[in-house]
Amino acid sequence: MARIGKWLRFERRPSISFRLLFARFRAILDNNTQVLQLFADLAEKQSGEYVFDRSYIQTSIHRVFDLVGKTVHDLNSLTDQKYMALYAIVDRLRDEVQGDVAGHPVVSKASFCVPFEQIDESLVNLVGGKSAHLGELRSRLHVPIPAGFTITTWAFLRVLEANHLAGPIEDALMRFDRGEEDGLVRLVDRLRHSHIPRDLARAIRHALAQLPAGSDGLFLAVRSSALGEDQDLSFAGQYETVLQAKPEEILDAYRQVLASLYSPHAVAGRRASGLPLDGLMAVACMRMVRASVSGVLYTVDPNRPSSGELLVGATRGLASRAVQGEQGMAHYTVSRQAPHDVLTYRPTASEDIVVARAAGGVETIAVTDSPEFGRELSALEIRNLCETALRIERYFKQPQDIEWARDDDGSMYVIQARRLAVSAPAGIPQDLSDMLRGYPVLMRGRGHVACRGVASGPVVHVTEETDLAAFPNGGVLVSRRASPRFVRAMAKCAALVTDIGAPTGHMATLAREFRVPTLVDCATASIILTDGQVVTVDADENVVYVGRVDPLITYQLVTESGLEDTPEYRLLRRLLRRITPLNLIDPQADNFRADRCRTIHDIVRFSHEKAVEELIDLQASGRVSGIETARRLVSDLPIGLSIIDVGGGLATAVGGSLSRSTVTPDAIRSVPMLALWTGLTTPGVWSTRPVRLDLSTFLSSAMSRAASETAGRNLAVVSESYVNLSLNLGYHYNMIDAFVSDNREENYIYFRFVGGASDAERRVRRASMVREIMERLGFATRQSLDLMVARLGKLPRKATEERLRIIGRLIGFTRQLDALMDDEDTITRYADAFFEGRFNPE
Amino acid sequence: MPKLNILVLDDEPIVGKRLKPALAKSGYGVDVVETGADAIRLIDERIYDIVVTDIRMEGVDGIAVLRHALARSARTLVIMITGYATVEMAREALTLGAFDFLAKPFKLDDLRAVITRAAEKLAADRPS
Repeated sequence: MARIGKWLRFERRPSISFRLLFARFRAILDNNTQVLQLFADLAEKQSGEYVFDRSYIQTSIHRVFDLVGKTVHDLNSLTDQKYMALYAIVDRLRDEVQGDVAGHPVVSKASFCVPFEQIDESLVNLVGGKSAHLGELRSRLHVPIPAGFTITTWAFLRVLEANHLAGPIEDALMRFDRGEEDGLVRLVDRLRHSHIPRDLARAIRHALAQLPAGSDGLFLAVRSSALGEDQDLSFAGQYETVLQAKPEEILDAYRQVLASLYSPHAVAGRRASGLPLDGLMAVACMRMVRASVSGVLYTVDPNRPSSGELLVGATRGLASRAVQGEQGMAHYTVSRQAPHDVLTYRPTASEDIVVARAAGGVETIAVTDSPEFGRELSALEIRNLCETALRIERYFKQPQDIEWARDDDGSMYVIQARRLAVSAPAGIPQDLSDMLRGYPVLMRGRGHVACRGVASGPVVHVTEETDLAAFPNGGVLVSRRASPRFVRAMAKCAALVTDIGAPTGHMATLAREFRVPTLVDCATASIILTDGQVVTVDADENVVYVGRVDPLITYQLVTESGLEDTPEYRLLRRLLRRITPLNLIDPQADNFRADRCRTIHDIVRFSHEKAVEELIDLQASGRVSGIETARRLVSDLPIGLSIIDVGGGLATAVGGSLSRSTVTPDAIRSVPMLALWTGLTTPGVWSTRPVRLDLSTFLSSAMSRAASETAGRNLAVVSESYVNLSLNLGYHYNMIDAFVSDNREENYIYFRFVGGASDAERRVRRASMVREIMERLGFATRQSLDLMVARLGKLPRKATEERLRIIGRLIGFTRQLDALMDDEDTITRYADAFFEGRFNPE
Repeated sequence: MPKLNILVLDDEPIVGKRLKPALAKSGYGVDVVETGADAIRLIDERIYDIVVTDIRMEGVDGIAVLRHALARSARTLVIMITGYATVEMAREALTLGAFDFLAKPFKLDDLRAVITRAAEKLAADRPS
């Protein structure tokens, strides 16, 4: 705020009250920018290139809440406490987030049941680890999992409440601490016979009704999905599972699984793993696959990790007993290399199998396996199964232990996937660095790591126009420019390498979501890496090798620490999902209200908009006496601008060009405002071309045109040497803060550009184009997704004015350009057109 | 040149988890511990070329580990990791003979660069 003081010293002093209010206004805008930059900093830490810890997350989150708290306070002082609802929203978010950071997950009041297709990792506190994992397999990797839903931890709390179990739990755990198990045993019994409240029972019935019933009716597998269960392999099998339950038996099955949370060995297991003893249990209810064949798959041989083989175990019927080692399975060893040839096959010697009973439950029946049965799986089924398994392994970066089943109609499902413990890393070179020296290197330290990891595959060159639906499984995607459009190949590609791009860019963000090892900004990668050439990308070390470096790949797989699944990375992802999404986009929409803010991003965006509105309306409110008048600028330009003069910024005499409530452009005396205005009104810069509409931009462009034509509410605060202009045009925000005098030491321009109405790709492109233009003008810039900030100072008066005129033209030029920015090349092309004065580029 | 041995100490497990494989792949021998007491035990057992330690920890802190490492072997180079509020301690560490310090969060490349400089210094100091 030092700069405000600067112009105040030079100009006629405005009234104290306005000065204070304007300081609050500027603080809101400043804090807004800082919050968005903290978002970007936090997001970048997910690349794996940084070493950070929990206290970094704590400090950053603390800073975010500090800033947003100030923003809400400033907005309320500015508006005479109009938006008090925001305090409660910030408090609630802070409680949730800080509880999470401190390791006490807060279960918000939520649904009792969540269908699998709505589950992703961010719901982990609600649906438990196992369900979140399944949801991620489905949503991120498109792995087929059976239909189902999860009864949430919120439902669990409801059961405890309805049965008055909080006290008995505390008591039983205390007794357990003293070495007495009887309290837990009684607790298990009480839960088994607990009353399921009517609202919960209704929610479960409703969720059941949504599941497809097969020709033989619906049966369910009911499994535990407790909090923390997935973090420790020793938990496998600690809690109960009920198979082949009929819909009418689901409440009993639910009680049985819930009760297993408090079995003495489960509580002891939690204690050994350092988890809270009381525990929180969600329960996954999954349609039973009518398995003709089922089994397990290990993506590496745990005893010979460098053998390059996958192991598949298969049995007719259900694999429930086989998985626990109580029954034999047929064994296939399969090559990890596509097309995944079967290397060996050993049939099972078992003479009985487990099958689901049509009346519910399962039974073991005797079969005499004979050659006429043939093998359990076809070569094609094995190949597809292995491809799916390796896709899961690539994502989690660790060997996987996968349960699968083939339905009687032939479709293959994954029932569960978890990390495979690989024992002694036999055959792993002790000194990898020596061995790696023998492999030819194509690139080293050339770009930036956007997402860590190691992967190998053939190079596949793509451009914006490439049809990514046909992208080959396991290919290394190489491109000149980074593009979020590549998201379509991310579930399939082994690694991403681009010449141009930033670790904070949109594609990088997506690559981290899909956990694809990614190098960006490598300058000439698309020339060095030739199409079809097999390479190994080590995005941990920022190196690309010629060919397949097997020792490195095996080493990585076996020693991988699962960084992305550490509590810190998970916490960071959860927090980002809680605070950064933007839901309030359209200021004209009905839901643009304080009580509809759901995230920190919503609150800062809302506050910004309302702060501008308030300054414009201050005078009309009559709340502040002696305030400078906000006058509506009368001109042909459809930007709904009001001007407040705090000293020498407008002609003084009320008359022709200046009335009490309006002003015409010829009354502008503010040097920087005049420069901007000259730019804004340059003939031809306001594009008059009808905006092309296609499906993806139809809605958003239509909305943005509507918004700009209803002329949003925009504000300039001016003095003779100063301007602060907030301009909201079709959902993107221009903010210019500038000072121009004859003393070049004093001069500066600050320009901020953010947002837009089109899809994220195009918004980011437009911000990139603005950035390119500002850099050509000598500005220092910083860009995080669609936020671009440019700064320049200490230029002579003429040069500063000239740049403000250019920014004025740029504001007109960019207004609806994002809808046209279909590919990355438009960034430079439109920047060139702008400098050449072609304001309607094709 | 013999392989350099590095001891990494941070009470937040994720730091060691991130650093161990990265440094091992770069060809260093790496031990990771999470308490100052464990670090001192290992330093007593063997001489490390480089010690990377967090500065602020419960119990035996990074300054104590620094003193102990230097008392054990004057040739050991100690790199301090600092958090937000520990700049003063970092300054103290430097006057006590720490080789350098890095502020969390840092990039792996930043640490590699400091370790490379430390390795060069060790090589230059080595009596021929």
